[in-house]
Amino acid sequence: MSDHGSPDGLGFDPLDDALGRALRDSAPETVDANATLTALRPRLVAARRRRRAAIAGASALAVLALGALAFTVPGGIGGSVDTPPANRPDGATTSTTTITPMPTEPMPTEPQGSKTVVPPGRSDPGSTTATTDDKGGSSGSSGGSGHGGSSGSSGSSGSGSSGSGGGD
Amino acid sequence: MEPRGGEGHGPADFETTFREHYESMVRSLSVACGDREVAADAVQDAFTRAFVRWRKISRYDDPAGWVRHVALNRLRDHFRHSERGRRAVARLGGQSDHIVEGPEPPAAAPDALAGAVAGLPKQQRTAVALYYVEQLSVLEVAASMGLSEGAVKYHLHAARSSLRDIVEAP
Repeated sequence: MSDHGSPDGLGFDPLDDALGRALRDSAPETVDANATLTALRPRLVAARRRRRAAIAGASALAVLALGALAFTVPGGIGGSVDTPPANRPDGATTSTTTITPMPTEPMPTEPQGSKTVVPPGRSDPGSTTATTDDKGGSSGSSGGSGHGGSSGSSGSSGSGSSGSGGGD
Repeated sequence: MEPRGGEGHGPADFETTFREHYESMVRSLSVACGDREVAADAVQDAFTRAFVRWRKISRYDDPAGWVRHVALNRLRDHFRHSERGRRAVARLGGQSDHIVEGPEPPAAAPDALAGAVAGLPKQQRTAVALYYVEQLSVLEVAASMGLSEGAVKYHLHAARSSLRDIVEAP
């Protein structure tokens, strides 16, 4: 008998031996294991046959299911799938627009289309200015010199001025 | 005699395992359930299940432990079904349905000790049978019953306290 008490930490005393012996004596006797194994052999073989049949049946079912799936799915497994074209109105074309960034230039500080002409002999550009418009005419402006109204008097600048009285 | 069920070196042979463990399993389960025929059926059914999966089970650390565990489950199923049948019969007969679940006690206890063991709760009876009759260790009993070691020790201690008077009686 194995040492039951102390190794398992139960702290059993000799009562355990008596209890174990009494229980083993009262346990019913069984038949020989060899005889039982011999009698059990047909049952074991049948059980193994049943299990193999079950496994084979399950495998066949799985293969059948895969085959049915392959025939059911349009195009079969691994085939292509037809997709309808996109719905567009007739004559509609697509165009590709490429947006290129504009070259950046420094913005002029003066309004475009006008230009400040400094008359010769004047050092102060702020005193008398004459502007020429886009059409070449000049609308003179006296910076406080006193003889205003002489339009076109500053044709010497040459930039688009066509003689005096271009405005007529 | 060494506790059985702990060998786990290489695949075990089915017939060798059967010859080594069948008799002790039937004896202990007979004490646990109180019916030798039912115990033998449960153990044979467990070995049959093991046989068809033996390639896998033989690689376990304790193939006999697996068989014992399955046999205990078979016993539990058997008594659950028979308990259900008894309840149904009791309902049909208009009797009280206060029936304690578990194996029915043996029809005729051969002696006082067997009668006392049959009167133990199911877990205590199974622990006593595996520990004292089949001589398994607490760890093996715990593995077979699906309990912790502490729970098995508790059941053994309670059963021992209950059986002490009978064993110590002259």
